[in-house]
Amino acid sequence: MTLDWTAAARLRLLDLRRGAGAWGYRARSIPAAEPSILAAMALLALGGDGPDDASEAVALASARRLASARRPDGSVGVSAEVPEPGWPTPLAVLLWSSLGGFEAERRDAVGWLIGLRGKTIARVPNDPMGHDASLVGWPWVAGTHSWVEPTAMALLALAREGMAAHPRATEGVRVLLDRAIPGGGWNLGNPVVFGTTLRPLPGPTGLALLALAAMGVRDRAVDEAISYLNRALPSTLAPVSLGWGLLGLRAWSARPGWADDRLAAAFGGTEPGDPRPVELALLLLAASGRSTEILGVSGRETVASATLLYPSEVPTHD
Amino acid sequence: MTNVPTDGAITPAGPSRRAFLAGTGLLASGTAAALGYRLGDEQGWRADVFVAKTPSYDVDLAPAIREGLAALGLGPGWAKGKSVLLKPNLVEPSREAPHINTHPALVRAAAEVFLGWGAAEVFVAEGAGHCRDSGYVLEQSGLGEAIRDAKLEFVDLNHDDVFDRANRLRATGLRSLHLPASLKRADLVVSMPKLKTHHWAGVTLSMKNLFGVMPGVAYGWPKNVLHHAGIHGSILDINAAVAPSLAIVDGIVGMEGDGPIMGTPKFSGLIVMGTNLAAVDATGARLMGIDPWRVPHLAGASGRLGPIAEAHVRQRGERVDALARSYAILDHPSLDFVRGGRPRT
Repeated sequence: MTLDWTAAARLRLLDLRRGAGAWGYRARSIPAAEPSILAAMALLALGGDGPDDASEAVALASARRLASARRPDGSVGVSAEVPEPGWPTPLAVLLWSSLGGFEAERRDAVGWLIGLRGKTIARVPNDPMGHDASLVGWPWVAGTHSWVEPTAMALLALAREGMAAHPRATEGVRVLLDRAIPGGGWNLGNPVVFGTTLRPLPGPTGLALLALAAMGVRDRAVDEAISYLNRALPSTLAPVSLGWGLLGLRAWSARPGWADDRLAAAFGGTEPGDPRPVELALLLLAASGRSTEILGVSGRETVASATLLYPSEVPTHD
Repeated sequence: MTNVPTDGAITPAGPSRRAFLAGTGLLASGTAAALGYRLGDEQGWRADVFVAKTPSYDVDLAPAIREGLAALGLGPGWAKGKSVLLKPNLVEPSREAPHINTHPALVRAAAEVFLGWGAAEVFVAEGAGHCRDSGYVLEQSGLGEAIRDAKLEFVDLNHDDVFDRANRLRATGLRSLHLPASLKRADLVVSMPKLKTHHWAGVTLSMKNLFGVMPGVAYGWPKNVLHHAGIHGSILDINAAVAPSLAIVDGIVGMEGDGPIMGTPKFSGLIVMGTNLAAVDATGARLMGIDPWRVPHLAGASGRLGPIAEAHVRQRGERVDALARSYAILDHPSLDFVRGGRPRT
């Protein structure tokens, strides 16, 4: 059953291309960086399992296309019509790294990433924000505050590039741990506002778990997030949330036994008349054992034996 | 007076279009908007707002919508042959807190009305502010099932193609706005918010609901660029750029306290409708016991996007004072601006 759906999903994904190595957010959308990168990663993760063996060639076309679309500062924008913000840049780094080569592109992109700082917010009396807004992670858009998903993506890229010990990366970890929601998981990056604990979401939780695994950081927040995902994922067939959630669990060797059946069911629920490349790509990534490696997470052995980089100095959400 | 949609541009039927555009200079900065109480000159601005009493989501809501729109002078000719975009409020998914989001039954009922009037198409579109995964939002809110049953298309505005439009109101310092391409596809944009208090903006109604059209790929999650530019000014800029055609407010069960997501459900049993969103929201605020002049984006809309003075908003249907309930405002000094006193005229 698993093989059947992944083959069908792969073919559907290939059919949705909008040019060499290019995908949009929808079937008829203009090409955009994120769907192109995730689709290319999914094809790489599947390897040559399909009826043709074009996966790597297609992924390479994506990588080259991104390289040619870079901005002079090294960043990769959302699309040709939205050249800024550059939040897809760390995803591009992951794809370039997976394929090997692209040294100049990776170097420039990482340089841009290091220079991009989330805006800090000074604490005020009766501050409604429950997190430490003085910590610097990564924003979606330059000039705005740091949030969980762009910070997690940046950490994945930096870890993949061997820069896990960079001060920006260590502070990024602090951002993630500070934003963990009491009770488990992450949302967009607001754990507590006006004294109320907000709700977690599977997507940001999965991404944060991947990033912490890539950074080799185990914290109580990790265990609580794993527990949260085990509670939340069985009640969703939404491909993006299910995909990121299962990827996060796989990064911590906590992939549940029901994962394959759930992924197959989620693929069955995608609408053939309105297929979304990001959804197909994330389902395929979540199904593949190679995906965490592509995302810069080495796997069980590395995580289990990792030196905890910050055993005492990293504050938990307590 | 109403906003009569033609080619998607605002066409105020009160002051001339030229006067409308000229008047925007008074709101040259977010600060001016935030301090914009009583700045508005509402001479010539009049709008009708209909309030329908509705006991629950379990009744057929389409007749109430149809009746309300008829009282506003809208009928089949308004929607016939048009592409209609329904914009519900889907901030965040939660099965445990259905009062966060516009109820699926109301969205389905609105679609039924417009399709029954001969609309060429009705589609539902939203760019959720807190969650990137529209599939998860639709699934957990229950709206996905409703729009599938009704065979409606959903467009994720966060990931839509994007076009730029000059920011002509300039209530913020943003020179241009990135807007989703689906706005060009729609002849009529219908804002369908919940009746809620909001812990930053004071209230969130049909004008604030249009934050959700702004594409997350360009503005982030949350749409932090707009927060940094100024929430109230951004609301004004977006409304001027989007030129919504109609508001249908889900006030059957609203939210008080720590809205827009962590507040408490509050039964009001009503639907509010109107073609001028400033007037609709002023009425919505009064129905929550909140003085609209204390809400900066409503005060800032006065005389530029519509009327908010009680004397300039013609109430149709139920009487506002009979249905108004006091919605709790979060007890925090940052919300002092919206607190205090009964609604003024």
